[in-house]
Amino acid sequence: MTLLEAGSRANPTSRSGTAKDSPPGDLCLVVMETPNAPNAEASAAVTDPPADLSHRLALLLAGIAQGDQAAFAEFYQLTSRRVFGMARRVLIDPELSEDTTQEVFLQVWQSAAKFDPAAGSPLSWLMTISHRRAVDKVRSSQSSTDREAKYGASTQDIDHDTVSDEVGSRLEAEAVVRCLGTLTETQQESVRLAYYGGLTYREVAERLNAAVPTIKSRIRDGLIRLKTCLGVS
Amino acid sequence: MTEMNQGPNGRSGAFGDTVAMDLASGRAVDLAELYALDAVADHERQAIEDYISAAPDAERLAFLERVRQARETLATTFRFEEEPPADLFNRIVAQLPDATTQRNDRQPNAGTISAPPATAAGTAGVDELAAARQRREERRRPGGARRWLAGVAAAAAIALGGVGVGSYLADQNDPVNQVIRAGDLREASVDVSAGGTATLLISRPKTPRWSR
Repeated sequence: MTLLEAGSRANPTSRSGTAKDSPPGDLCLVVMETPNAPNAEASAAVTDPPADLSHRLALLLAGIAQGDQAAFAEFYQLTSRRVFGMARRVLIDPELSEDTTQEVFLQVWQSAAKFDPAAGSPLSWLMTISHRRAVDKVRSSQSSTDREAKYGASTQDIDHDTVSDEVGSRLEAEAVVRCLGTLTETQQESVRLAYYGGLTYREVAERLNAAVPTIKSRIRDGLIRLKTCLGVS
Repeated sequence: MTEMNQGPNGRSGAFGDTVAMDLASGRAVDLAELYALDAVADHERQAIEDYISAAPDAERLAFLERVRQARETLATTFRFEEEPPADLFNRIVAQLPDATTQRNDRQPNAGTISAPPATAAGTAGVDELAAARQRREERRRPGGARRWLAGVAAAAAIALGGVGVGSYLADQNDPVNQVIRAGDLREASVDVSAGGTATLLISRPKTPRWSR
């Protein structure tokens, strides 16, 4: 019994083989790999979901770079919740968030060839594009006062939501919570104001009534602590 | 936990009031996190990019590495998810340039600086991808529009299967995960006539409802 054919783009009628020793009624998951991806890699990925996802997204980007719209559709399915979710956090306004998401994926379509696996993971590449777009839009459409007010109103539960909405990779989510805990409160606050509030370091300093060099240090040190704790290499 | 701030008169590594001061005092690399976080104004971003693109290799590569790590850190840390409106994908597709026309390059890519010289490993990765693209291209010549629709359908099926960034391989109740996590998991590979290999992960169901 086939439950899912993940990523298969071959014509189903062309599937010519079945597993020899599989009695009827067994559960069966079909994983289609491209010819240049060895099977050893595919089975290793099963135990390592983030790497598997990165691998998949990288392959899809390679397809998108060639104008493969099916790859684009799958890439969208796998990532649009992240892009839209971040846009909503930064922009609040649903329509602006939809516009931003639309622009991000149009840029993905046009710029997929520029993705360089040596320069970072596909998700990091995508979220970099997304955050930049959202920040550009929020800065051009709203005054910083508005942003701060909206940010304040929207972030009462932010400690909670940075983890609770993430059903997946529970271990990773737990690591994020633990590692955020290694930051000082002021470091966390500064990084979040910049990331979700779309504020510059200068605006963060004004909002928190702190010296500009202090805020720069908090952001730098906070992110370096997070990186170290999360083991980002 | 104590804060690690240095005032303007602190040890080296302390920031100045402006990005221009930081660049002038040789602290460009320390701006990597602010840059990755988009926490600088547009003109400051430009000043950083101008400086870094003209900087000596060691400084430029150190900066780019710190930016890369900061971006991975941010993508791992901030993961709020929300389902976009159901029709958004179709609206995006309606705006795609015709896939059959030449796609001219392209709007400026957000937040990228000219990449560092490719390392040996980086070049190998790129070549591999290019080869994969070529093979894929050769396989998918006929049937543009139909293939597109099939792709959308396949993607929809994947969505219904509950595979997403957030829930990826997470839900223990998902039949896919039941298979993947099953103790009696067996693996078999078959060749597919269209090219490629299908890997089958096989497990005997614990309850009758998964059998036919």
